[in-house]
Amino acid sequence: MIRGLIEKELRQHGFALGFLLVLPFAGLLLILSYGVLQRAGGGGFEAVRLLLYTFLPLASLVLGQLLIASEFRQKTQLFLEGLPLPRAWMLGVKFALGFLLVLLMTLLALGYVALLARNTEALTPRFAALLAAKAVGWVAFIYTLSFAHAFLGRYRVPFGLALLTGLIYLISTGVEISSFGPFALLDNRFAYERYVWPVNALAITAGLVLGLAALGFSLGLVRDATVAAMLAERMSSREKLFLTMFILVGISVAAIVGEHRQNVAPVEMPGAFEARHGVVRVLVSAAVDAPSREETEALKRTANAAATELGALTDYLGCDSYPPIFIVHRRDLKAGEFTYGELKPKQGLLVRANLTAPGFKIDALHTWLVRESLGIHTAGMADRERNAWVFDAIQWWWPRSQHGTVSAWEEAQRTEHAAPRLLDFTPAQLHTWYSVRKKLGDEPTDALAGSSLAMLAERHGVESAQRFLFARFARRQPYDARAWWHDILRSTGARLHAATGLSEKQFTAEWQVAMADRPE
Amino acid sequence: MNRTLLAKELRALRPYTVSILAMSVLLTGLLFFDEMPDAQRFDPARWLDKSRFGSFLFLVLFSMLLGSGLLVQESEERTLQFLDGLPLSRTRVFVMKALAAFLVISLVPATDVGSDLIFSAVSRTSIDPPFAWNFMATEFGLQLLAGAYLVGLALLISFTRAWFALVTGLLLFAFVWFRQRGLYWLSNFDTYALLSPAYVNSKVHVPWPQVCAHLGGALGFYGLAWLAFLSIGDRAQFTIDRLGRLRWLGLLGTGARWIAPIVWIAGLILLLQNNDTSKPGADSPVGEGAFSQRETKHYLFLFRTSQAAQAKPLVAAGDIAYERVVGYLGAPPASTRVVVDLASPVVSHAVGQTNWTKIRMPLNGETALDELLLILGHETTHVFIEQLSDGRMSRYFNECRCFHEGLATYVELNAFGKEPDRDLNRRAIAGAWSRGKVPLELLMNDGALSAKREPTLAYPLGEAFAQALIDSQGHDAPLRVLRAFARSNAPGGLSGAGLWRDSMQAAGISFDRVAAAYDAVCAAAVKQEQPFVNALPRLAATVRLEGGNIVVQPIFAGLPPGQLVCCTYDDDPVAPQFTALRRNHDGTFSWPAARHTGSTFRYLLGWHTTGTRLPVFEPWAETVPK
Repeated sequence: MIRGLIEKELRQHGFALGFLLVLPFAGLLLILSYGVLQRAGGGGFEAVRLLLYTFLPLASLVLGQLLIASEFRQKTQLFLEGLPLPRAWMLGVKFALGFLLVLLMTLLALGYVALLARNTEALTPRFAALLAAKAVGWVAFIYTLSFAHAFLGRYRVPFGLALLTGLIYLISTGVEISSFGPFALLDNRFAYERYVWPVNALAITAGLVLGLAALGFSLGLVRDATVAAMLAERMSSREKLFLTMFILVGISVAAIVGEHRQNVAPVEMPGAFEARHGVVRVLVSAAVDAPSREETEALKRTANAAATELGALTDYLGCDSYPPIFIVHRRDLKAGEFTYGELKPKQGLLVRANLTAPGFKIDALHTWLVRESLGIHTAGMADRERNAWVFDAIQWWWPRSQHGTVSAWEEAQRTEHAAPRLLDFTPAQLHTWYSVRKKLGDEPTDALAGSSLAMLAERHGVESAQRFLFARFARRQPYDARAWWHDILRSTGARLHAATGLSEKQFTAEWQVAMADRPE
Repeated sequence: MNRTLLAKELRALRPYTVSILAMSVLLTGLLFFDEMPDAQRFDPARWLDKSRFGSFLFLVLFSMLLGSGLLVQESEERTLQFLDGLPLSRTRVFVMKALAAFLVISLVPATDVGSDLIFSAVSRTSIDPPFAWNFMATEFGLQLLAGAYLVGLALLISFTRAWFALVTGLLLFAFVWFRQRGLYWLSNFDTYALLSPAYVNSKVHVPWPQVCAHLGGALGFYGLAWLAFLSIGDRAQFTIDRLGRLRWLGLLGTGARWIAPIVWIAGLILLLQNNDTSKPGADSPVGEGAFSQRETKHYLFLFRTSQAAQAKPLVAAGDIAYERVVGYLGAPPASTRVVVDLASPVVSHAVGQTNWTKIRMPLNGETALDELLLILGHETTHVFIEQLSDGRMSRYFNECRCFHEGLATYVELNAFGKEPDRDLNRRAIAGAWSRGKVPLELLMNDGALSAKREPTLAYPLGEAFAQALIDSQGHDAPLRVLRAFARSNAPGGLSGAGLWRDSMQAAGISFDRVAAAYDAVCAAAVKQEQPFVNALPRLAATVRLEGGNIVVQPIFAGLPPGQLVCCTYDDDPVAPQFTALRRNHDGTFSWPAARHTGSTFRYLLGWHTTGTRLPVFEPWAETVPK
């Protein structure tokens, strides 16, 4: 009876099976004739790898379609079920026939390439055995996957695309698919590794092959094969379109999320001077071979000073976390030259500076650190145009208000000369702060912005200013759309009102009056 | 009647309309929930770089979906007979169908532009430059044209019915094949190139050749599809059925359909193929003959027997070279022999190539033994880098190319090279640095580096990196770093400098010290080679269109210290090749305008002197040829 089944399959699919046996050779010739690949790959076996990656899955999918899917779709399996032999035998014959075909095709391709490359490949029995074992492992995996896949009937295409999308997504998130099981068998060493047996990869592949074969047989046998028959029903055009759209969206979402989700590793600085103050952690190290005593002192001093300064700020603002700060001393930089260390925001803030340069000012470094670290802490929201005036304000006001304990109003009145150049103080100007900055220049804008906080502290008390700054800067923001939503749903104006009882209009009016009162 | 007919067609296409709208809403919504919506300012350069491909893909996909069934389905489902019974001409039915398809496909650019407008509105600040309305309008128009063209093409191919995939694949195959064989005018039919208007100084430069070709193509496709639509009916079906009964024709048809995957894959291979114009075997000996093998302690040499005399000294000196590399890296010898293939070709412009434990360095009969040992040393270092990093250095090629080539160059120069070789390399570093600093972070991102500077910088600056690593962290530092790359618990998904920082941390090496040392090495090279740097005049150029060529006229002050060279990327959208422009007698360089798609032209200008192996280039320049 088994022989009869085999004959039936050969008679029914003989042409297609024969064609599938020849098809890879066409592919192999095509790949081998591809000059660039030959030069880059350097050996025929690289062509086999490409063949196994491209043609073999296609051939296996076609085999699944021919031997399984079409049988169930056309309901001809019902006739076979009427024969006096267990259903499992019928599936077994189909499985074995297809597997033998792809195995034969692969071994023939390997043999053909080995013959072609006999002079430029150092073929040893061990190398040949390694090539064969890896190829057979991959073939078994792909074929059993296609076999199980064929039972999914009308959901084959969506499932296949979902699988592909999943793999792409995993790769984009950093999972090294190429070092896992069957994929490791066909990695870029396939054509060259002549010595090491991929024992782990082969074992994992064997496990997967057994699992997939079991899954395929279960789908084909469970509930008298009615599940497979049901899945094989034709898909309506609406169902097709919905699934197409669903898959496209899935692929797009995976691509977008994968593009933006990049892993980061925590930064360590062995041998760095570390100072902590509350939630603030500052590490300072020297990028020099042997720091001098003066440099070592400067590192310690800078670590302590920066931690104290930022610690006081975060205590004042009520921050429950803060990005770690890394300062790297570089002898080749000029005093006052601070270069950004290009860490991911999750990793913290890294700045390179020459801490021992003549003319180096620690206050300038602190100002730089306050600005950049608050930017990271708020996921960049602090420097958005609608909030930028507060961002500028705190940088000016914080050191001058003796860490928020005095209003600094007199200093604001003394140093602020930019106000007359503005026609008026309106909420609209707060919302277009970049234009104000462009018109007045950086330092006058900082001073102008700082005077707003000074006025607030002077007229409404330093606690009022603190409440407002707490509302604006305390909470650490995530680096995604949530930060934007938080900022939009609770704007700076709303926070100002909640903290001080002043609307933006009242605030700017009061500010304008206060500035007009300033002494000559 | 027209309105009813159009409404009927639009109703039939409703699922596509819903799909396009739903996808657009979902993707726009995703940006609102996953990214910073107020950091998505519309920028033409960014659109061309990031969004163009997505828009193109959607246009292709939906055009094919729409066009593949719109006309022939009426015939297949026998509803054409009903339509024929109505007091309507086939032409009118065709026009309404095409119009409906065009209206639906126009939703793709409409939603694209719509989402750009929404995000721009959210992201704009008071100091942003004026909104690029002209670019957006042009892009919208070009996408409409692209949609119409692709739908027309799909409508025409749809008459091949079950052969749709095969014919589409054949067309793609033919397009790529002919283009790579020199029919550059075909790029005017490249829809991806159509969607790339240049935006320079707030002015839009429309790719008119592509616009004209697509307009003409679309008219032709619709015309042919209209003729085909007029001809389908019972008589045509009868003829097809009759032909289908011929067994040999049936077999041929089935066979041809089965070829579709081959055609598609061949097309893909061609798409990925480099435009390798060099003659096969030009850099390797020709003629087959008997082959020989020679085993040494560390190598297995394969060569043509006819070249045994040239191979013999290399074989004899091979193990010494190997020991030198081992000594320099401080690595244990590999557990298996390295295969050295002296007979197979390598990629163009390379003298050697390594894949895992196999080296290829074709003998050409002219190279001296010293030079061969340099190559062998260089390539053997690559073998060790791969082995010690467990293949991760090539897996993270973008991040590690500089170190792969840099360390190999470092070992080559220090273990095998002579003082003049090291001088050449130092001058290359000085020349590159004098044209603009290349921070270590940029060097560790090969894609970003190649967008700003010449792709060969990975060799000299990579060598500076390797030198800085060894100088600042000790002689065993490369080994420690490579082992750190190979560690099994390394976090995945890191990229750029982040990957290097992590690996160096794991190796107990300070990234920042290495970065400082690298800057110091490069600055010292500039200082040491100041006379050489001073002798290289800075280069600028004017670019004009002249007699079907793009002509680059270099401008510099002072005496030329060597030969001027000018390079560009061959305009293949998939696999662009770094290619030199032809030098004219008057000192200008020319490039056939037909080989160039897009409105702006990018080029590199440099000096090739006896002071360096490779030219010292200025950074990439981009301009609109006038």
